[in-house]
This record gives sequence, structure tokens and C-alpha cells, in this order.
Amino acid sequence: MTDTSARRGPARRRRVPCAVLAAGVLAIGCGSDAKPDAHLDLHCPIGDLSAPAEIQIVHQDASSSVIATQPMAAVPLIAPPQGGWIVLLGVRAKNIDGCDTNLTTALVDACDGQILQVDRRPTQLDLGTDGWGQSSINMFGNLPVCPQLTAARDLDNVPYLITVSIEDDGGQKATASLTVVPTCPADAGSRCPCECDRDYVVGNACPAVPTPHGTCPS
Amino acid sequence: MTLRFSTLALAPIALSTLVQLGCGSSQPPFTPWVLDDLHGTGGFSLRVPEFEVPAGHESQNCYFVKVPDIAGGQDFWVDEVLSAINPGSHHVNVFRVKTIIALDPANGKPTTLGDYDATVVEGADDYKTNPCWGSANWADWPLVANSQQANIDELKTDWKLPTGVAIRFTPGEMLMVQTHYVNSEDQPTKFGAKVGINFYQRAQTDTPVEMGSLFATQQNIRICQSKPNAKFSGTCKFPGAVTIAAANGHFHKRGKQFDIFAWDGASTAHPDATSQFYESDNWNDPPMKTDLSVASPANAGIWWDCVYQWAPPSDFSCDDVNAKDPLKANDCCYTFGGITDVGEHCNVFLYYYPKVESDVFCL
Repeated sequence: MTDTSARRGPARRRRVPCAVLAAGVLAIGCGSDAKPDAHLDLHCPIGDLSAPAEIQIVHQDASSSVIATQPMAAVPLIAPPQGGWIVLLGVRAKNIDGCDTNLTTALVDACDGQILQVDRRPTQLDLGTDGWGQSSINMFGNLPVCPQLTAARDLDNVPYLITVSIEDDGGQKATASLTVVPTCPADAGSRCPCECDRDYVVGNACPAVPTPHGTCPS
Repeated sequence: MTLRFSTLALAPIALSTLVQLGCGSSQPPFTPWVLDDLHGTGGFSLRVPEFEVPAGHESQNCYFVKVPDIAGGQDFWVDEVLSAINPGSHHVNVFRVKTIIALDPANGKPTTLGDYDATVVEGADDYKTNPCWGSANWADWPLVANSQQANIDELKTDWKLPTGVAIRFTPGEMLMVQTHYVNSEDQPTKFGAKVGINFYQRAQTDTPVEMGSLFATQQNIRICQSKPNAKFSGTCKFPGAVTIAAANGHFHKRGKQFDIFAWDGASTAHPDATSQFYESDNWNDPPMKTDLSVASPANAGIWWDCVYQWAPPSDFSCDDVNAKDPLKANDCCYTFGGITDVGEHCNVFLYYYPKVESDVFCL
């Protein structure tokens, strides 16, 4: 699904072709520990910055493969280092600055429109041969899904709305939304189904047989 | 791992008299802290045995102790937490022990915390393998109290809870006291590591409003040499209408600005400046706001920002930072991790009332 909601930004700063900036990055990155003030103010336009920005949502699977997200797709829940379960969301985009860009992802319960969680971070778009930029694999949105104390429904294998927005420093932006199905890994020993149960209380024992709460509360 | 030894000298930990910080220094004198020892119905005192941290190294210890029975077998309430911490401390956190994964009290070495038998798992340079460094091992352990104060001017943090609000304790429940000391040039541990905490039992007999805690963290953070300026934001909702009473932010050496805002829970737009109730620009001595009274209505919560600027490690090297990067980007990218010189954090420690359902985690 592609959604466009771009607006023209203010006067844009100097543009540096990606090949040039890549060389600059390599030059900074080589050798001993460089000082942060060596950083260039990088820009790498993807497409036509005078046209509306366009985006498509992508996600990562457990093996870090990037997948174009489809409506009602099973999006894998992944265990981050501190605990809990997340989904990793990114974008394919064009008509936007691929280097100076912020990515905002949100988990929404479509039953009542409640936003359960928001994540915002810098991202970088790598230019593909098709003229679209794609979120760099190490700069995906980290959207926490479970546990979710305020959830009115279970979170594993239950449809939820995700919204993904991207905005560059010049004001080009776009938003897309999809209903997807966050899905726990299949391994039997995982605590994921328990921690994604609506009634799970952090720190408590998991119920032997969780009661399903997947439908919208009446 | 490559350690660069700093010029810090190890100081003896038993200091009975005033000690000056360096010859001719304008820094204030160090006066060893003293806390009253609480017994009986007054509350309980925990005293971490003094230890040294070698210069250029970090220490994270996890002490396990059971809540004493000071109320005839009944739950009791604490309405003041007074901690005293020698300079060099990065944090002292007190958690309630819940699910045990790898960090197990039973695997600790016997010790005592004041009057009470305890065990300790000591973490040092073994941050890659020691369970006391591994945060997933205490992912669902609710925070009880914390202090990041490491200021020689003020060694004590006196957290008096709002009138009529208190922390509930159950005799026999297991607590984990986590100390983290950093003996680096920018957070020196010149007088030894020493921590004491007093939990004062509430004197009134009516039932108070229970204080809850919120622990929120941004886990997938990357602050890289080639993209040195980065800002990460997250949200966390309360299960009902609450009042925020205290808060502090926590990041490491690349941290430049930590902001917390009230969030309406209805928009992905950044809250405006009038919603801000906490800020810190000091990674090694962040303020703890204990006088807050921020009303958060139902279906609302907090929004927080962590702003970083990349800088090289002080005592380790970029090789160590790269070795820790799960994506092996070879870009000296600081990623989530407890040791301050090679890892970063973006954590919110916050206290609210009334506690509804449970403490709040946003992981």
C-alpha cells in the first residue's frame, strides 16, 4: 500500500550526491577514532524532491530479511536484548532525502483507534536500482508490541493497525498505514504468546492456557 | 578488549577524615556519608559492603536480599527512601525479583547487606557474559527506587514520597540492589564504592495510596561514527489516570539531552514544549525530579527523547565497540548495553500513583 501526503518544505540546503558523500563517509570512518565534528551535513535526494513523497511499508523477519508488507501479513515478533517483543518496520520511499530523515512508527488498535506505542528514530534510505530508497537494515523502526499493559486485546496473531511516517529535514513527508498480524515465533518454549496475552501482568507467571481475547471488545 | 589505563589513582576505601580532591584543587572536600541505621518498626537499612573499582574499569554488582519482616508478618509501607552513594556511581537501582532467567540469587556469593544475609553476582570486565550485565535477565523486575546521584557536593538522595503515598513491601520478597560504578576520567571513583539505602516505614496507620514505577527503554539504538548525531524517541502509556511523582532519565557517555513529556496518547506528533516535565543534559549526574505532580489522564502516558552525539570510547576502543555491534557494521556504532564506555542506554525511571494493576514496563 502506498500513501502520499507530502508537502513542500522550506528552502533546502546544499545537496551532496550520494557517491560523493559515500566517499566522505568512508574517509571519516577510516583510521583511528575521529571526532564528531568531522561529520558532514549529508543529503542524498531520492527521486524528485519537488514531487510528493511516496512510501511503502516494509518489515524485517527473524533472519533480518526485508519483506514488502502486505495487508494482513503475519509480521514476526522479535525478541530484543532487554526483553519484550517488537516488530521492525521500515519504508521504501522516493521523492525524499534519504540521508536526513526521521522514521515514526506506531501501533494502533483499530477497534478503538487507541495508539498503543510510538517509536521515532533517524533512518537512512539506501537507493535501489528501481529508483526507490529502502530503510537501511540497521535503521528500522523498533516498535514495541508485547507486553502491552494497556492493550484491550491479545497481541499475538491478532490484527492491528500500523502507521509508518517518514519526514526529511526539508519537510518532505509521507505516511502509510496497514493492518497486519503480529505473530510470535513458532518455537514451543517461547514466552511470546504469554507476554502478548491481553491479561499478562509483567513479572507474573504465564497462565497455562491463556484465554483468547482477539475480537474487539463490545 | 583493549584497556587504556587512566591516570586515576586508586584511593583507599576507608576514609575516616576529610579528604581533598587533588592538591590545590578547587573541588569541594569529600566528607564520607553517614546514615542512621534503621531497626524494628522504623524501617530497614541496606549497606553494600565497600569495594574498590580499578581505574579504567567498570563494576556492576547485583545484590539479592529478602525484605525483612518488620510488621509482624504483614505487608508494610515505606514513604521515604534515603540513599547515600560515594562518587563514581553510575546508578543504584532497587528491583523486585520476578522471573529468573540467568541472573539467579542462588548462584550468588554469600554476603551481607547491613543486618541481612544476601548474595551477590559481581560483574566487571566480563560484560559480554556476566548475567548481572545482561538486562534481559531482569526485564520484568519492577523498579522500586533508584538514584544516579554521584555528586561530591551531595552524596545523598532523599526521596520523600507525596503525602499519603507509599511503596508496599511484603516480608520475604526478594529485592535486587544493582550498583554500577564507573572509574573513568569523566566519572571517577576516587573514594571507593560505597552505597547505603534506608527505607523508612510510614508511621501513619491508615492505608496509603500505592506508588508504582514505570521503566521504559529504547532498545534498538545506534550511535555511529559516520552518523554522529542521533535522536531516539519512545512512548509509554499508563493503565489509567495517574499522577507522576518522580522521574529521571538514564543514558551513557554519548548522551547530550534527555527530555520527558506528558503525552496525550492520541497523536504521533511530538508533544509541545509546555508538556515537558523533565530534562537532563548530564549523563554522569542526571537530576532526579522528586517534586513532580504531573496529572496524566486515562489513555495517556509519556513521550521521551534521547539525543546523542558520537564520541570515541575513553577506556576501551572502537574495536571493542564494533565487536559488540550485533550488525557488525564496523562503524564504531554504540548499541544497547550496560557498560558505559562501549554501550548506550535510553531509559526512563519514573514513579507514579496510584499503582494500577501492576508496575509499567515499556521495553
